[in-house]
Amino acid sequence: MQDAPAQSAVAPSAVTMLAVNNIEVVYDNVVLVLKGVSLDVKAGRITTLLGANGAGKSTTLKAISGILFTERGNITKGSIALEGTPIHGRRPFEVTKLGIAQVFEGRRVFESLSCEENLVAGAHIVRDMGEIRDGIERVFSYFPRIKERRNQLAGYLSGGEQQMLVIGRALMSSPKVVLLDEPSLGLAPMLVEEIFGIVKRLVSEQNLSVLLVEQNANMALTVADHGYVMENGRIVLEGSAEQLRSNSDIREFYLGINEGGAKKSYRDVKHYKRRKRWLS
Amino acid sequence: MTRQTTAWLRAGALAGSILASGPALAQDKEIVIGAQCDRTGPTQIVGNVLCPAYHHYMALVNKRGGIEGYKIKVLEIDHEYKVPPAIESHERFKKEGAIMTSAFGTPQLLALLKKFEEDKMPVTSPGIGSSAAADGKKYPYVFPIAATYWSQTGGAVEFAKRQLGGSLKDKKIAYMFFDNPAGREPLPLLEELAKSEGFQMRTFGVPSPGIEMGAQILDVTGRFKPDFVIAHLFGRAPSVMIKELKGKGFQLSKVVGLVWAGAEADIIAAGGYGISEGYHTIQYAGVGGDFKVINEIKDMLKAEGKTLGKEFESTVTFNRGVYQGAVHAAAIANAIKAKGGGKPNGEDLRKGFEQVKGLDPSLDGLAPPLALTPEDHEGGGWVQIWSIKGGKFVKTQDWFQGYRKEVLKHVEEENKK
Amino acid sequence: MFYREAGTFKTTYAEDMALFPLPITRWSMRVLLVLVIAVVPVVLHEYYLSIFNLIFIAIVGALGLNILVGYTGQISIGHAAFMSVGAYTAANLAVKLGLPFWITLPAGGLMAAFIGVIVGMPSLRIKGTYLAIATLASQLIIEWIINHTPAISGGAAAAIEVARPTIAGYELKSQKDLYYFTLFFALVAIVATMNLVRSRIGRAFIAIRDQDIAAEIIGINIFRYKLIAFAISSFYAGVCGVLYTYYFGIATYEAFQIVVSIDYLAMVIIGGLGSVLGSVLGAIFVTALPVVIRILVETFGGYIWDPAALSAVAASMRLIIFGGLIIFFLVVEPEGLARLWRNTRNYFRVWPFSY
Ligand SMILES: Nc1ncnc2c1ncn2[C@@H]1O[C@H](COP(=O)(O)OP(=O)(O)O)[C@@H](O)[C@H]1O
Ligand SMILES: [Mg+2]
Repeated sequence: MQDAPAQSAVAPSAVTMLAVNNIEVVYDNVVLVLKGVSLDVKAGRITTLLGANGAGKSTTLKAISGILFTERGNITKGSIALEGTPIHGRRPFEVTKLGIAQVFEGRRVFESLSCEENLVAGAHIVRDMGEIRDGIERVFSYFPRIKERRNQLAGYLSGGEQQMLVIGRALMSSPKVVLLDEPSLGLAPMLVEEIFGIVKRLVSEQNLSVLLVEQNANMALTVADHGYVMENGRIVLEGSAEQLRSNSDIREFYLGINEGGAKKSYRDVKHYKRRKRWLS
Repeated sequence: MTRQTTAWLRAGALAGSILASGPALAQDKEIVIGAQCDRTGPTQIVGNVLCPAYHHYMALVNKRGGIEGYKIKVLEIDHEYKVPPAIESHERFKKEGAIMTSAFGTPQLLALLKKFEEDKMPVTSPGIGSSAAADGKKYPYVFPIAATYWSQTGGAVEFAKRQLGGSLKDKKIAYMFFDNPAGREPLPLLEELAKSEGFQMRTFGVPSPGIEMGAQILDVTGRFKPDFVIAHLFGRAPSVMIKELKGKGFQLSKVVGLVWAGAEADIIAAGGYGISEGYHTIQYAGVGGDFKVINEIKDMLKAEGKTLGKEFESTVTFNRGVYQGAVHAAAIANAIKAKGGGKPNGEDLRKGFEQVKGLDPSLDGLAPPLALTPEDHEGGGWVQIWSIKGGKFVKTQDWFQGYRKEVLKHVEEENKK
Repeated sequence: MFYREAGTFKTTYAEDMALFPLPITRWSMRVLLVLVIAVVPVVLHEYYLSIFNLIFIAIVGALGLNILVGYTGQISIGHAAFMSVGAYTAANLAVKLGLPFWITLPAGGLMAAFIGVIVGMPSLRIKGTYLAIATLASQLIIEWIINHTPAISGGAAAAIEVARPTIAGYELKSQKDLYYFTLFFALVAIVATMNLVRSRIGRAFIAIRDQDIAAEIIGINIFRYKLIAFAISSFYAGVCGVLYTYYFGIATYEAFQIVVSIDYLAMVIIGGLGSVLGSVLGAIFVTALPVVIRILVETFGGYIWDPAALSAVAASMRLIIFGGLIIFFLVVEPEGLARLWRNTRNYFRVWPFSY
């Protein structure tokens, strides 16, 4: 263990919880999707991974959680480590037991189970009934809306409630790291804010580390401590949330803030990106 | 008012009283028989002919005045060739006072074997069930009452021997069979006969449902080139075999089919009598409509103003239903006589069956010279050969018992196990 | 009308987790149990008991299939094959080693479970229709192996006669004896299933069915749990096959062919996938309804048709009415009879204030 992390916003000395080291991912043995991705998730922080549709963000999360294999994907190069222990190549349930929980994009609740049963199912790797009950109460305390609907079938919840439920369900295995894949997808901004607020509270109060994947960079950068930008299977930018917010490229392409006033054409963007990559 | 409305009104008026009283119990001067049948399942082609024929014959018996003053009541239950409904049907028959059962289908018979014994109720199983049941000492309540698969096989081999000039030495016989217990049943007997008669035997199993047998046919006609073929197939398989053998130029006069490979429907499905010309079949009841009893049934139906149903088109199966009915009638007559006119129970009827010798004379020629005894519940294992000649079934060989000694030895050995 | 929730408060976790949470359900269950145990076998004629017996045996098999198809979402058209595995295992043990039913019955179940695990292996890679074909293939393979292995099948006839089960020297022979025998196992199967589906394993099954990827990510070893589902389901099937064997007095694979697999699928689909009650209702529907229809047709048709014609009419009427009712019920409630029952019950639960 290194020094205790400073309590300030972003300290480079924070302990690395999860380290992804130059991984390459190939689908179906032919489609190269990740072309050498490295990123660190610091303990007790929210790290965000930004990028356009199809950049490979979800693939990165699947590579970490091990679910990649069920989709005929393979890590062909690189390594992933949780607190220094290599975890790449492990089956998903093993990764879960080691302390990583993934929340999929698209809110996959178990429709025919009640909210409470969904949570109990989420505690599959926990055997102690008392611990499960405590976990449920903890989730309820963060998501009072779920508590109100505890006996309702999850399939009949609204989109926002389902998102809350799957986050709550992921917490039930008492993970060290939570991988959140586009929780804002299809939700009203108000709800997104509510959910992100809860996530932020969870991180500070429950000593969690979060890797948040988002297309909605604006939102993500308000809660995250650190961020990466991904394009075409590569990390093209990295920095503290503050740095990224002020980065002109990010402002332009992800936050939709135009500096010069004149809108750049799509062609310019491509050209720019290509050159940028050559340089990096 | 039309006839139908009257009927419905009557039905409505009586509905209450029926529900209150429950199904009517057996009458005093009435003997109840439970008949299992398959009218809607995989063997419905047989059931839809055999069962109506059985009903017609029993109606004829009743019209003639019944048996020793008793009327026959046949309760039929269609079990769809499934086992659970067959179990239910047996209990139902018992409840309605039936003293015997007419079985339909080997699995159903097997699943009830114990019950028949426990309930002391005789059951007949012509053309089905295990050949070992011919032994009356081992299976006191089961009566095959017709040539079993073993006796049919004995008959087939003997017929082949006759066709091939009186000796099977160094001849080649192919056995094409449905790859299920019924199909495999004759195998040990065939092996034994092959040894004692000195012929070479090769077996060709056809998996259910037997509509695809190109490979086996090619093996038979192209490689083995047998002197004679014995076919033990069911359902659509016999017609497929006839068609394919014919297609390969194999002479059908060197083929004999056991009892489920030789009905009119098989010949028609194979492409007709022209294509099947020469094909031989083993039969345990006569073929054709030219019997006194058949004409009597037709006259009875006509007198009642009914039209003759489709079941009359398949005489092979129809005649088996009539034959079955006649054996039942003879056994019932024996049982009543033994009781001095009293109403027999299942046990009495079992003894009645064991004394059956000679049937209703109107069956003359349709039935074999059957003689059931306490030991022999098969009644001799008599068969006839009927062949397709000039566009119709022609009797090639009258009642005979093929390799009776060997068959009986086999029954004995099987039951010693 | 009396199915009411009002006035019932759960004060402990144990109450919350009871199999029957409402007192009214508990009471009606008790009444039903008394009826089935003490009244039915005493009052009814043997004939009706034989139908009950077939239903009880079918319930065991249907529950097993529902665990696999309904709860875990893995389709199987090979259920009957596992019954035959159980049947022949028990028959061989009973005949060759003279073992009593309380050993052969679980042994038959375990052997079926073992074979079930092997057959379930492809389920890791294939789903839906493909798995259906794979299980269909295993049905045929198992049939073929039994059929062609005299050591299993007992000879060319592929049928092994077994003695009736005995308890302390008493032979269970009559339909009434066998009624208690089959009822006991049906009840055990029902209670076991109700507990199973609410356990950690049961939740894992449902999670796999609802969202297999999400299930995997919460730490469920999908492969293992799919195999567990196959094992448990086949265990039930094996026990069901053993019950049939003792009930028939013979093991014959011809009683466990593909049509039987289809019949059992019909039971769980009509009754309701993923429902214990559905398995029970489905078993009753498929077993007893054709009989009821036939008796009705015979009773009322007797005034219209003569006996010989009636047999033919009854057979086809049964087929038509039974088929029609299946379609009717599935159109009214695609989720099966259990759902239909639940809807009705929920209506009364809040009656008269529906909303
Ligand atoms: N199972 C798969 N097989 C083949 N290609 C895939 C598979 N899953 C994703 N991809 C491809 O990988 C790329 C990255 O996908 P993904 O990681 O889902 O992107 P993101 O989450 O950033 O939108 C896309 O081009 C997508 O088409
Ligand atoms: Mg994505």
